[in-house]
Amino acid sequence: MSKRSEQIETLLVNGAKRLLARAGESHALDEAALVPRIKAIVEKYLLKDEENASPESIAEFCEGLQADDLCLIVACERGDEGAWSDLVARFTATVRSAARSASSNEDAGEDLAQSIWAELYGLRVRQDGKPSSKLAYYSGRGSLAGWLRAVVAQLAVDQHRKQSRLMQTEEDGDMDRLAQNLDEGQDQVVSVGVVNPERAVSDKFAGLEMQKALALSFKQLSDEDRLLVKLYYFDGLRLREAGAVLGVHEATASRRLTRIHTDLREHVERILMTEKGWTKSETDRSFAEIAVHMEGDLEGLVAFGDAKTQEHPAT
Amino acid sequence: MKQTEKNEIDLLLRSWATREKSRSALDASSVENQATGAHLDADELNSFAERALPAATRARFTTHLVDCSHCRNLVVQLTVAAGATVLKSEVSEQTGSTFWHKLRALLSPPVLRYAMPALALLGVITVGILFLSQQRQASFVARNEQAAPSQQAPRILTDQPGETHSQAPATMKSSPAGELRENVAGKADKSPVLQKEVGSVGAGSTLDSTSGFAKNAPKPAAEAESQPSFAPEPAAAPPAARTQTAVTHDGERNEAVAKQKEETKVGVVERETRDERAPAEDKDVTLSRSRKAAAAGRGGAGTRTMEARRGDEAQSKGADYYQETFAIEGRRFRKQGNTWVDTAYDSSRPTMTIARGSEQYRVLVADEPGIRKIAERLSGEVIVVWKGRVYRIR
Repeated sequence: MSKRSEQIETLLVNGAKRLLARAGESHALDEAALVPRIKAIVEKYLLKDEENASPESIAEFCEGLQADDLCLIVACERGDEGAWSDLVARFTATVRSAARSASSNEDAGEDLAQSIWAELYGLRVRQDGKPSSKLAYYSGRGSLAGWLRAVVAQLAVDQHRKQSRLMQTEEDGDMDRLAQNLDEGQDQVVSVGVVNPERAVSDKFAGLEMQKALALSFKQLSDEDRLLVKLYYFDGLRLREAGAVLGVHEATASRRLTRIHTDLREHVERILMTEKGWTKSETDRSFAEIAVHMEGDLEGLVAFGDAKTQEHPAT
Repeated sequence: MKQTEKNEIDLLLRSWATREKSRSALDASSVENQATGAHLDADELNSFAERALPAATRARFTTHLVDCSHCRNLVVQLTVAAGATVLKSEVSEQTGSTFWHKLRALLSPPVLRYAMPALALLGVITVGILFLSQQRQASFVARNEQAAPSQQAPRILTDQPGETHSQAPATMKSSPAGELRENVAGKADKSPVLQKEVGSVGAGSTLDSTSGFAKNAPKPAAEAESQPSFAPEPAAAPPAARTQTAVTHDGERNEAVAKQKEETKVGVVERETRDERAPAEDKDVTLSRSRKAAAAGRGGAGTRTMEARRGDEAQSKGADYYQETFAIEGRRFRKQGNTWVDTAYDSSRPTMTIARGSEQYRVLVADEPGIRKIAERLSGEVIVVWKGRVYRIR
């Protein structure tokens, strides 16, 4: 065993001891029961991305584990009936609440909650004869309640997809028609503002170039910035919500978005001028014209969406 | 112009997003979802949502989330559900160790809520102390005016016929002249010239002794005694002392007209005496100040006594105010107004405010049934410290 491995092993044993000391209820677990679990967690969340992580960061990582929750889950995995009772008593409400939120009605929510408990208990059996439980995937990095909500959400999505595959819903058909009409609508809106065909071709070309430049510029942004753009523009989140996902305040998210606009604008201009040979005035004019057309497009989309809503109020 | 530029990019991004949405609506397994490979598992999603990941791992997951709308949607859901945790840790981050963070924490509403009434009370007490001390100072001055006329006024009138500068303040009566004499006497011990001057200055000091004064000054007029007495103006003190000394020196000069050398020496002594007078005046002022300070001290002591009394009253009231306590789920609460406050509550710690009946509340009580019991047992606003976090339940 290399010196590094020995060092990590020692750190893990110490981490397990401290974790047991921190836990309010250790469920009669010892270090030996926890070390393999902690080792797997450290490898997954720390050493995979930071192979040469310092001993301090490993120790700090172990300190960040949810002691009570992890001990409870490991005890449940080991078949501790008391731990199971504790788990069910403490988290029934959490699972039920999450399942109800993810389902369309009360009954569906109850069914989903029951299937979650079945998944946790492990109705399927692994090759080694032990039940295949989802509990093995809990790392203790986040809270157990949060993890249970994530499990519920994933299971709900899986169930929804299975049902979607079985039947082509009417909504899908509507979406197809909606997308088709959108394309037609875009063409109509663009044609309204066009003075002559030559200009229309020119604008369309410029718009395409600009969209390409924007896509390229978008890739140049940092991951955090791109995620913010996706959350705000593509997922339709409000700044407060997008900021919460990124772990920043709404005001910070707003400032960051403003900076992203500036960065994108500069980058798009640079691409158009250096790679496409546009002049500054051409770039500015194209931006202005495209913006006018886009505004028209968006207004058209909103109007079209409203018309569809009135047409199908149930949907 | 800049705003327009931003709007153009904003519109371009919106347009792009709209196209992307319509494309993904047509094809559920769109390019975005296909390009990402394996999705994040429940634990990874939750750890990201609760920001419990090391930086490098978080960066890797962020890269995945940019391109995977499926995982992004789940992360958004989990972040909203875990809102309390995220906000709490955000607050913890904000209350870092920098000066501005500390200042911000110091001026935060939870701190100001208690600090402002305390500051207001302190302000009222300060104003009260100042007001009382001013009142006492005013009464002290008034006593001086009453005490002075009986002894000082006739003498002033006596001095007036020959010399327009003879008003002596009451304060000169005892200490300044005495000090002046002592100071000059001290110098006289060292120099024979000064020794001579001590006599003249001593004559000047007959402001106190009627016999000495009678030798050098004219007898008071009979009608002067019938004049009403009034208090001398304190500001006239230094000139009076100066003129008294000057009168004495004039007499000396008349006697020693022939002795020019001595006259010169007298001039020297006079200058020295004037120099001596300055500290004497300073001492006068110092004495006055010390008297004022003593008066203020008396007033201050009185005020402090009042303060202490008020403090005791406030404490006794406070004791009644905080008297109502309640223990539940291993936590002890005391009633402050309409709020039940955990005795372990520290106002400097970040607090998560949760409204009863809200989604966050439901999530919280689902996770922590103990808090539910507390919230159900205690009506109104409750501040509870639970597992190291502070919740304000409204």
